Amino acid sequence: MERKPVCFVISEDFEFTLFLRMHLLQDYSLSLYKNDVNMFEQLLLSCPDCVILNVDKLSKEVVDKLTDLKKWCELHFIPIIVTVNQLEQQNLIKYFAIADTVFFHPINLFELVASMMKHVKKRKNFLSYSFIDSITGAFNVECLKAELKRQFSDMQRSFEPLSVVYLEVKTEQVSVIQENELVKRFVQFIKQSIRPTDFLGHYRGMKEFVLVLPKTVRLDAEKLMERLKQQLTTKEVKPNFLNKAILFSAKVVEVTDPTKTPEEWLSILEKFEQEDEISEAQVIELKKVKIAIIDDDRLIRELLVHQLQDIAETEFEFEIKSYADGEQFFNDPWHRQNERFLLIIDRIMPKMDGLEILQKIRTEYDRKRYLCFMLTSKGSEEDIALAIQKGANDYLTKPFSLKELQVRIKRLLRGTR
Amino acid sequence: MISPKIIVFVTCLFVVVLLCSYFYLVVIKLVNIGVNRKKQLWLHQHQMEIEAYLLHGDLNQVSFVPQKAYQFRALEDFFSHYLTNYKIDQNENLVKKFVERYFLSEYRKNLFASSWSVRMNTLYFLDLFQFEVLTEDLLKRLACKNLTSEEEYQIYILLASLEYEHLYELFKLSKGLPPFLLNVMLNRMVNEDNIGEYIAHFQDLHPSWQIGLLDVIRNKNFRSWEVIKFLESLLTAEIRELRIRALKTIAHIGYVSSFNIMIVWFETNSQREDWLSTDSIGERLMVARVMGMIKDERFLPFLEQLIADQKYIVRAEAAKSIRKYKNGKERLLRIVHYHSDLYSRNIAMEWLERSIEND
Repeated sequence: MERKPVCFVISEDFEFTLFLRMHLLQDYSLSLYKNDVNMFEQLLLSCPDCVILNVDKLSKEVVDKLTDLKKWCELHFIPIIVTVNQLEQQNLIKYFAIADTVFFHPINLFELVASMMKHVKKRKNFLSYSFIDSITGAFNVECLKAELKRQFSDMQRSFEPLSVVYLEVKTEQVSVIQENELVKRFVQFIKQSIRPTDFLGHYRGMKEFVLVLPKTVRLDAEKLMERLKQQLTTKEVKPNFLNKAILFSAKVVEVTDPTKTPEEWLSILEKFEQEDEISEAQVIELKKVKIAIIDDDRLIRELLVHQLQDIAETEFEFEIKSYADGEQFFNDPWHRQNERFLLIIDRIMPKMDGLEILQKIRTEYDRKRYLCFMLTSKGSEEDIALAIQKGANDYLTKPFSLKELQVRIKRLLRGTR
Repeated sequence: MISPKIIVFVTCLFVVVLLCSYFYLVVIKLVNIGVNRKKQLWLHQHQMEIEAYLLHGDLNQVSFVPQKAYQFRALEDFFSHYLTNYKIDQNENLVKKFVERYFLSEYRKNLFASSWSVRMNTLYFLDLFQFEVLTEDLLKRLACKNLTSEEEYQIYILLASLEYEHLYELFKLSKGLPPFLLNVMLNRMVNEDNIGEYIAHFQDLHPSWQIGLLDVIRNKNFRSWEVIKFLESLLTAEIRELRIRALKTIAHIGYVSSFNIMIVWFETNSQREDWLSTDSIGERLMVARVMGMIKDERFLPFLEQLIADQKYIVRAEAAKSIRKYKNGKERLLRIVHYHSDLYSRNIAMEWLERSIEND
């Protein structure tokens, strides 16, 4: 359900407040100014979509803060509607200067509501074209989702690793204004520390962020987080009111299934309330790989189908099929699916041999989607050289050691990690 | 009471002997340094010519034929280093051609030299090439009375490389080779093309060759239906060692023609009276390994039986094998919680915490 627009009401006239509450509560959430709490603190907490300032019997504290209020609202694209008592002649120009719209008492309710609607809609439209979250300085959540979507679709083609980090700034024993200052500094620090291709997006509340790290495996992302934590303790990033370094918690997840939506992945991130639960996620979400074993020797086919089933069961979900020659493989539409494939190809086969298969795959198919592993005969260095030249990702000479084959395949699937 | 004069005399004598030894070692060291320097200098002087020969291979243009002993040693060192670092096709091996022309007569002589180290160094150097013309010399050397065991072993290995056809008969008459060297020898003799012959005549082979052959199959990863059937047939061999090696090799190869073979084998053998004895540790250990390498759900009850074995190594192997199964972690966890045997619980716990990734 869409949240109601929030209207922050600065009024020290009880009757006016009552009037608004009677007529606006149905369509708006009203947040009322309390004179015993800092105004900006209240603004930060309520995150209003519009501010109504009733200029009647205003206390000196409020009047003094009007210029700052205007600046703050401008910064966060919040419209100010001023309602003025006809009798109020003093500072009238000042009120006109800060207002987006001015109403004079007695107020026509329909006019006020129409004006509010217009301003709130305008603000919403404006924000939909903006990339930055004005409170924290990071990219906003819509932008974050778009970036995640872009990265996921890229990942479906490139099969490069992608890590997503859930960051939460720890702000204990500080006021809301101080918290905002601290978060802004944190965001600035992270932005300066990451690569240009990385992306820091605001996620929720004031202090929850998501860092998108393309081409990064989980272990490297974790190392980066450790380094950032270390840098925060040594660098002078913290604001004056904080007597220790800025602290934050980081939970890293490596994206395994890019077909999921950004919302689904963000909800996976939410599941981790404790950092040590992350490894469990790896178990739930496995990368899918299809393995084709193309060898005319039935023994090798049966052996590999059996032995490769669970070589990396904690990281990958395999679907293994075997074929006696290249023709059989290419005749099966299974090989055309839009998935990641690993082909284990024997060099010498009847009908279509290993090099022909390799050549066909490399010239007619998406290079990144098909990993090719050649099994060549011992001592045929020319074959090895030819296979590598034609685009084999790795090779092993027959008779091969099972352990070496398993390790090489694991490395091939994982990439350089 | 020993007289002080004698004590002084003995002390002086010791000092003199020590000093003499010291000076002797110093002189030897200096001589060696001098020889090494001469070797380096000579190599340096002929570097261009050696390189030119290795690039173009014109034996008639060779201008670095060694004349003196240190020159021989210098070239020998250089060639050994060159051949151990670069893989060269035997047919195009220019070093071999050079050695054949200029070194061979020297080596023939050195095979019968009085110094043991000269003879051994010659044998080691010859190992870098296959000079069939030396077969007769090697056989003659084998018949010599002053032949040492080390030489004998090395000659057998050389003859294996030369594919000497009567090696087996020769071996039967000898006192044999230590297992490690026997494996080196068999590794050179057995290949994918002739393994069938060895399997066909397996029963006639010397027991040490039978065991060695199984090790060779494992080392060289020979995989064929013939080998698999042969290994499976050995599971019922009379000799325990053969059964153990067959199991070990099957575990390494990672394949059996049918899982039932292992099930029947385990059920039959676990009924044997001596199954739980110390002598059968090897079989229990290896069958646990096989059942971890070749995974089938039906093996799990057997592995759970082996995890309660009285011997630590068998328990550890069984726990490791269970861990390799898809739901191995959960199974080990169940053993940790519910197994009545404390040792089984402990080993299951250990393998829950260990990674099988590097094993």
